[in-house]
Amino acid sequence: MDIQFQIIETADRDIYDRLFAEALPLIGAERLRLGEENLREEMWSGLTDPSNKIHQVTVDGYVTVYICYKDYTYNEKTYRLLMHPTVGCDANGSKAWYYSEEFKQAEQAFDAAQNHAGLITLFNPDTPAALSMGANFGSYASIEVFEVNDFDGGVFNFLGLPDTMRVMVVTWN
Amino acid sequence: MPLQSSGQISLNDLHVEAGGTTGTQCSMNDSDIRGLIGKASGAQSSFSNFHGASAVSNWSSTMTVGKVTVFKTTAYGLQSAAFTFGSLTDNTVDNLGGAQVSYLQWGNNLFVFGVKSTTQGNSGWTSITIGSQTINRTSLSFNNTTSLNNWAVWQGTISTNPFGTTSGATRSISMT
Repeated sequence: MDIQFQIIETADRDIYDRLFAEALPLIGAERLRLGEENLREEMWSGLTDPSNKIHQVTVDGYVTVYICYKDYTYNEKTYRLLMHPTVGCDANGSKAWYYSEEFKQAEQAFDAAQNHAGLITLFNPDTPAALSMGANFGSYASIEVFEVNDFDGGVFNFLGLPDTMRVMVVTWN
Repeated sequence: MPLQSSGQISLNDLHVEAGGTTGTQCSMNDSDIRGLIGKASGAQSSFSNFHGASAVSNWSSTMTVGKVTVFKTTAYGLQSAAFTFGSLTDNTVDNLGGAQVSYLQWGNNLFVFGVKSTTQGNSGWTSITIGSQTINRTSLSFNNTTSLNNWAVWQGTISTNPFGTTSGATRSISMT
């Protein structure tokens, strides 16, 4: 299995719509909060915001992930602040690639090449997306979880997020 | 060093803060003591008016406004922390012992002013004027704990964006 991380200039809407549909089972909490169509367009707007960076993941040449992100300085290191990761299936309709050794190695190599110490994401605890992420990286990284209002000087307070959301910091070992 | 933010203050404390020698004669109407809180000669004042007052010069600067958009919500102003946007001609705050500005931003009706400091308390300044808009310290909540990564942060709900929405625009900043 060949897994590649690639920074891209623009996202393709048709690919995004496929990834969004495949990702929906994992992002149910946000779907309930915003509504499916609002969520679809909000995530797409992140991919078309010129102030964001975008990368994709391909599995054997087939796009399985779109992520927009910003560089985020935390404890004097640079992290990827993930916004709207849209994680889909490979060409065989499987997400097994996400749990593979190749994916973990490719992700760490990508971050190393970008001079990222790890990644930061906001999430809803106990959702499938959060649980799969924590389980996937637990042995490869140190994972810290914070309440949004407590994190990093309250940097995300202006977002007005629900109190239930948390911030996860994944620092590669 | 600013006067304490609460509790009893003596006339001698005011005298020393204003640059006088401890134990020497002074009065509340001395110009250097009145100057700590900007009172005119003969104006009435009480010791509690001097909580947090400081003889250091007031910070002023000019901001070039920047912005960051996270999850469709945009903050305007300056940040030199998690994100880097905007700039100041002078980012060391005289009123706060030369602490560096990490946050001076507005977004989603939340105003945030934060400096890098492990010791700064809720004192040292009275108001900050951004362009034509003045924001009083007492209208903001204050936090400075280790969980805030050594930032002293004031924040509160302000309905009007003092920075405007144009990146590259400039705003005068002055603090008392």
